[in-house]
Amino acid sequence: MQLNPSEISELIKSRIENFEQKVEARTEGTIVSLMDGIIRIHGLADAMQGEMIELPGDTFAMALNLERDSVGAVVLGSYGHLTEGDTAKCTGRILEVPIGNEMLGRVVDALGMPIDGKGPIDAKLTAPIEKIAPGVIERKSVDQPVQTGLKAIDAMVPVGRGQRELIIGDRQTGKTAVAIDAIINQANTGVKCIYVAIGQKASTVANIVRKLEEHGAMEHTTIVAAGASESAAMQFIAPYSGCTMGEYFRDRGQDALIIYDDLTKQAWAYRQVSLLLRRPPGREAYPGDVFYLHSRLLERASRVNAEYVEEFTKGEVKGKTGSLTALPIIETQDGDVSAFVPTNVISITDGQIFLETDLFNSGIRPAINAGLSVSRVGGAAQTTIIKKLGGGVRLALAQYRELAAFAQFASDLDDATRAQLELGERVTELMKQAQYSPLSIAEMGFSLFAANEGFLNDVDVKKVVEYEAAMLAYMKSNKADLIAQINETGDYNDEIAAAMKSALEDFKANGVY
Amino acid sequence: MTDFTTAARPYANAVYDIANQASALDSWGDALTNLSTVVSDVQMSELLNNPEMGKQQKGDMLIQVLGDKLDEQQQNLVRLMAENGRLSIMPDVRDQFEVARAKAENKVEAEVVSAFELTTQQTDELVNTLKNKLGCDVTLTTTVDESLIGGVVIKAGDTIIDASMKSQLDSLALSLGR
Repeated sequence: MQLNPSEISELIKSRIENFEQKVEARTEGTIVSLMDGIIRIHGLADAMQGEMIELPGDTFAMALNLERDSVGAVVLGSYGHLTEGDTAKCTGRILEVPIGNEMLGRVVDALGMPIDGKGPIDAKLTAPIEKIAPGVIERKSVDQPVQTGLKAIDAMVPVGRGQRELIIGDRQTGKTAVAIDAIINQANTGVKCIYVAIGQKASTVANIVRKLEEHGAMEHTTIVAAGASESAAMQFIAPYSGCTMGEYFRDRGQDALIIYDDLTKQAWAYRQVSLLLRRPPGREAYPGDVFYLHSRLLERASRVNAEYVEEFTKGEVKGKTGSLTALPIIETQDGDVSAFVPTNVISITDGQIFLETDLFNSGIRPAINAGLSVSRVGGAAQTTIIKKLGGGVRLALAQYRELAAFAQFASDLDDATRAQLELGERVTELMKQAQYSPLSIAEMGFSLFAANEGFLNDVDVKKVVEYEAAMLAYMKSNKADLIAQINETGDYNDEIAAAMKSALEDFKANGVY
Repeated sequence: MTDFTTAARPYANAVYDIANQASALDSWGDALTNLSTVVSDVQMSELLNNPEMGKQQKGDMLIQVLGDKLDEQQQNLVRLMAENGRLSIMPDVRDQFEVARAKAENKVEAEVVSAFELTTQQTDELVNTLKNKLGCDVTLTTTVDESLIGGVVIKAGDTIIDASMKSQLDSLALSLGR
């Protein structure tokens, strides 16, 4: 006979003793129809929009349509045990999820219930999943970086704390890989991470959890998973739940990073719910408020000023700003960024990282299209050294793209053009980076410096990747002081430039690759 | 059920207005109750759903059944509802009419289900407490349901005050099962 840990007599005794049954007036209604997870309830005259409705069998529903004589609600979870005629009770509460440091290191569902088999979560606080984003007065502009550890992103499309940077691309272009690398790189930065998996295969989620554990990134991460087998309602609310968990850190003067993987599937889930609730369909059969669906979510990712944090924590945390950085992911179909949901989310976010199938297949990974990828606010948040050195790389790539068409006439070109082409090829090679191997600021700085100062010119294009690996290994073992210094301050001046130059010359003279 | 409520509302409101103006709320109330009872009858509802009978025929039949219990206006209501094919929602019209009437008279009908028979003193106390809580006159109907084990359940409209032993045990079971 298997007993579970909560079945100890003492425990049961104390729970019975402490059990509190409050008698309160509640509004009741009757389920009149039940189909595809949508219930219609007769009665419940004073139900609120978004209110949790209690159903038999410890099941809850969320009220979405308030009509004159009925309430339309979506069942959160399974609805096999419900029948027409069952009673539904108002709870007087808007849907809430547990929040707090206890959530870190855990895998939870869209309601914040643990699904990782590590026992119950002892979270002391809960917060409603739908909240209004901080207003204008409470915000602060973005000026601190979120280091993703990916050269191509940190140098060309930097992300600041509190920014919303969209990751967009077709299937199988490495969108999730970029996001996971960003989480792994937060291990020693104090940035808490929330990864919201929407409509993904359970095996994919399990894989991500394992990878994060392998790289020691699970301790500062919460995973909110609403898998493909979960009801559409759960997939629809999962991003809001995750956002609420992230806001806990933002509001207490900490920094958090949230990844929505992906919002296309959330929009599909919402479309399903809306159509079943008989809301009128619009473009691509999405309901009229699909823009608001994403804008209200992404607006909650923000940087708040110290006064807001102080007021929120009632003076407990002073002089600290908080931030919630969002990396929403959108999957496009055949590169079509002008579809409804992609255009919406592009217009909401502060820039996008555009991943392309062609680049991915030609071995450029991360497959970032440097021309179409932009960051509208991240520039202000870059560390000095990356900002100074990254500019050259961006320019080299832009010129390379313009001239790339002439590359096949290489022999007939003048020297200047040929030099640009060659640099471009090398920089493209240099921007390649393996998965799960984020770089520190100093390492990135050395790579970019080598490209800017012409150290790559006498390296064969095919050897650039090896050159970089050998060079970084050399620097780590021989110039540890310089690396530590750069990593600490992120400064860049003539002195550092000279030190880097001499270090690279040393490597040129002594290094092997 | 929901749709019936929506369909019944305009009829109920119109009937209430007429009855109120003519100060004939009681006579209309009785008429609607009679009509509902007849319409809900199994044989009658079979006839009313019979596609071979015309709409007018159905209305006339209903009027015949109730004979001179209906005055002219009430007969007109039956004809109108027959015309619109809405005779079957008569019980909903009655319910809504009574709701409107109770609201205007500031009255609430509350149902009390208890595990044991309530004493007169207990019902009086309940009526007084409910009066204070709901802010209107309360008419109580009491029933006994032994499955509650102890305590009472009070239903007034959509509002339920569940203070029964059964529901407390249920929620204790739920909280222990978590």
